[in-house]
Amino acid sequence: MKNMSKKQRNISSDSLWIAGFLFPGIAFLVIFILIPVFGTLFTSLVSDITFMKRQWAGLDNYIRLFNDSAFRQSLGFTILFILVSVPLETVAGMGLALLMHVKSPFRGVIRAIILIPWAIPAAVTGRIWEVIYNVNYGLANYLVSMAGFGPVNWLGTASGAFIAIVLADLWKTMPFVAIIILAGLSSIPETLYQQARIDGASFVRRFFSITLPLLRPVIVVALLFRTIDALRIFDLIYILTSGGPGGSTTSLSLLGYKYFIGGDYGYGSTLSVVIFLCAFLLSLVVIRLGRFSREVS
Amino acid sequence: MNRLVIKNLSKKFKTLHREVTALKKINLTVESGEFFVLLGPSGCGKSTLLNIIAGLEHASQGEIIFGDTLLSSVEKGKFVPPGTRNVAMVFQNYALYPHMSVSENIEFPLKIRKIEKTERKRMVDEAARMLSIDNMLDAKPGELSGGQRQRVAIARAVVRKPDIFLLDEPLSNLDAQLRASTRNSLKSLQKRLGVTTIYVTHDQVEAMTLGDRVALLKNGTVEQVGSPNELYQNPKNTFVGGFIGSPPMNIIETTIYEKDGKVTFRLNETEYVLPEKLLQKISKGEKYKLGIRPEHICIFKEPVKDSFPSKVSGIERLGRETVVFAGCNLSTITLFSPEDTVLPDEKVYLRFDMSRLYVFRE
Amino acid sequence: MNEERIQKILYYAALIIALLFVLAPVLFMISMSLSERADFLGNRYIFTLKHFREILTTESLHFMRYCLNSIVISFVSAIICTAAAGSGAYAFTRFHFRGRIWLLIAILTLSMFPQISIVGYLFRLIADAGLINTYTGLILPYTAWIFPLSLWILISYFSQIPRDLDKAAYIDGCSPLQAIIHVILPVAAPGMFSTLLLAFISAFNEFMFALMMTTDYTARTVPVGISLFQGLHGEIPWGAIMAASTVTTAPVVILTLMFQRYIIQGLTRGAIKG
Repeated sequence: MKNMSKKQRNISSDSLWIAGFLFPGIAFLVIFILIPVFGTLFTSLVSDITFMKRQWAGLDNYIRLFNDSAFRQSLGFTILFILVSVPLETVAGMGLALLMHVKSPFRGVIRAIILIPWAIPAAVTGRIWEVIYNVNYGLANYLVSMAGFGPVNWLGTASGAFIAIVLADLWKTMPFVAIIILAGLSSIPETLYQQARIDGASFVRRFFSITLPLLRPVIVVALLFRTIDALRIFDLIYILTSGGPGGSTTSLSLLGYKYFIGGDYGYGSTLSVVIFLCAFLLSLVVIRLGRFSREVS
Repeated sequence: MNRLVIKNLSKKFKTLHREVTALKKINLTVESGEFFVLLGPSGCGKSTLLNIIAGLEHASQGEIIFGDTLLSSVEKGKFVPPGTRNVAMVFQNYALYPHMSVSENIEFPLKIRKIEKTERKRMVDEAARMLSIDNMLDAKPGELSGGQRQRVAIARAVVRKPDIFLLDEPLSNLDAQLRASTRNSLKSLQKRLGVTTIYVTHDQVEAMTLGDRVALLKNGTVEQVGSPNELYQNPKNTFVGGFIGSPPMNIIETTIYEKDGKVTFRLNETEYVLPEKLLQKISKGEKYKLGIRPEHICIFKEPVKDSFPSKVSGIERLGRETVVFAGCNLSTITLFSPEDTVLPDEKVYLRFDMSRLYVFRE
Repeated sequence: MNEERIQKILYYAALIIALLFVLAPVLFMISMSLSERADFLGNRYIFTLKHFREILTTESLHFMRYCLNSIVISFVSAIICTAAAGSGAYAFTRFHFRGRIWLLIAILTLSMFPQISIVGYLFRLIADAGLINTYTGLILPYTAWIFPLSLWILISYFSQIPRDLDKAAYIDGCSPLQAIIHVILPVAAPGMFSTLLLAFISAFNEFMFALMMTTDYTARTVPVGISLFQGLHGEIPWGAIMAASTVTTAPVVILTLMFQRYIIQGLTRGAIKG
């Protein structure tokens, strides 16, 4: 049906309607997100510690931050975490999506089960995995002992804690990636595969030549979401390790939280601003990478 | 007399890059009870015009008057909203409310107008019987076939006895067989109800069979208005000539010149004198195109009087007749051969019925 | 057909591994919540309901209070958010106003902010309004926080409702408001429901805001409550914690099982539009 651009009504009452419809949502966003963001931005330029006088600090906080070893440790951890967990989640999510896509009478049940980790609050997930990683009676060490190895101090060592967090986060977030990729899978026409089978392409061949290329946009979306989420991870780590041992698993958000709790609002705000800038930069990078890979293929 | 008058109607709108004029100073009159067809190719503005008549879109200029009532006037700043114009519309995709049953769909306009319940029921039943859908009143649109849905859409439109009945390509989503039978039912329904009807289509067969009068539009302007017969017999330009009729009229480029005091033209090197009655349309120094309908060309295997030679470039055997494609001047023309004996690449002789020749200035 | 057999075996193997991986922690949680001792793996399993009894009845644990808080706060936020998002989605899909796309991009950018960048100043705002540790103090920010995703999903649902339906309603005599009530809303109902579900789950699972803006059981939500469970006597009461986790997880899991199709549809639409 030919669809020319819509009626261009010049009556001002229309604008009133539009404003009316948009107002509630926008109001919420402005008051509870936009203003706090600017507030944080402003506070980051201020020295604001509880019980001490608030005074202008300009970029002092930022300079202090870049010289802060806790910040550098946290940044290192967060970057490492992103680099490890995002690809893992994407691959796992892709595998799950393929499983969820297969037609079967149990498909509804399978999908529902796979969704469960996503639906459970991160705090609960944290506690479950906290006990799974318990050295003495946790499930993890039980399986490890069945494989013939000695007990692992998961949460007590830096590397153990890292693995523990990656694994728990993987468990929680792969359903989300899976759903996004599932959406892409469902939109690939069956006829393409039929054609490929007639042409003699094997299953593996079909996957790499048809499925992956056509999933590219959807994978980029998933990568974008997951990268930003990984950058700001908080809930899980707060419960599992509280950032320990020795601050080795303190994500950026957790560090910011500690500063806020410690009463240093200015400094915490500074960190928050930096985190946001990182998120912004990262998303640009991911989007750029997405476009680049499309040109390459 | 409730005739619909459209005066100097224009519609412009802005897209991201430019301003588009969808309708340019349209002037039309639809008589009371007439089945009036808006015909034209995609993008000619016919649906926009229909929407403006319905009140779903605003014009940029011009007026619409129905009977004594001014429905809309940009100059005078008046606009009657669609719900108050007492028009009914049938959409190409029927636009049935998916969450309501058939009877609820039909009843809906009555409910909005706060018509009382028993009266509503009576009107719904009457409309349903008229459209032969009284046995599916409880079904939901999703359970019905295309043809059934269309009848529900029509029932919803007629139930409140509108002043104007607007239809936007209602048959294009039906399969070919259903289309023909529905055409007939639509025509007889309209005659029975006597409602002023405006029907939009791109299919010239529909226009010719359904319309009392047809307005052919192109790029926002009315190229010609008239009865189907008028458009067929007296097309004003090559567009109208080429649009109406199937297979379409052949349009042939030619040079018209003077030779021995006579106005002459050529068909494939053979010279012909222009028929008397066409002489008045000619003036010196202009380019012209000839028009001739396929059914007015005869084909021969041997040269006969007034024929010119041509080569067959293609054949389509349709059982009842054979369509032949042949070269004439620089174009390929179509014609019919009653027999199945024509061969591709064969050299044949064609003769035009000169009394049916058209000449267009272009 | 060799390839088909191999594929089938791979499929079932992968499926079983995936399902085991997904379910193992959940089953572990349930087992521990019903077990007398925390170290039941490899030892005798003793079944008991005492942990459940404990969390449901021990006043000082405030567990029931946390559940109530979470349910009310999440539900109210979800309702307000879905309504606001529905109204916004209607505007975005039915009106072609200038700067439409930029506004959408701006809203999506807002959703990219890390919570930590917001919560500092948000705390001040809420504190100044005297709303710390109240339902309202959480409902309002939650509504804002969940709004971008809800809007995104509803825009994709609303854009699939044909404009012709609006037109038919106008011709039938509806005012724009009547058209919305009688036609648009009923048709959009499944989409609104999906969005409501997703909004509820998001609000229910939220952690940082609740952590920072509640000080005691009055408005504290379940996720925060569970994270603070340290037990009253020294050793961490895993049985009780797992029992609380099970109780918390059960409704969400049931919701997911029942409405899996709606949830997936909602998230899927959001993804494809991207």
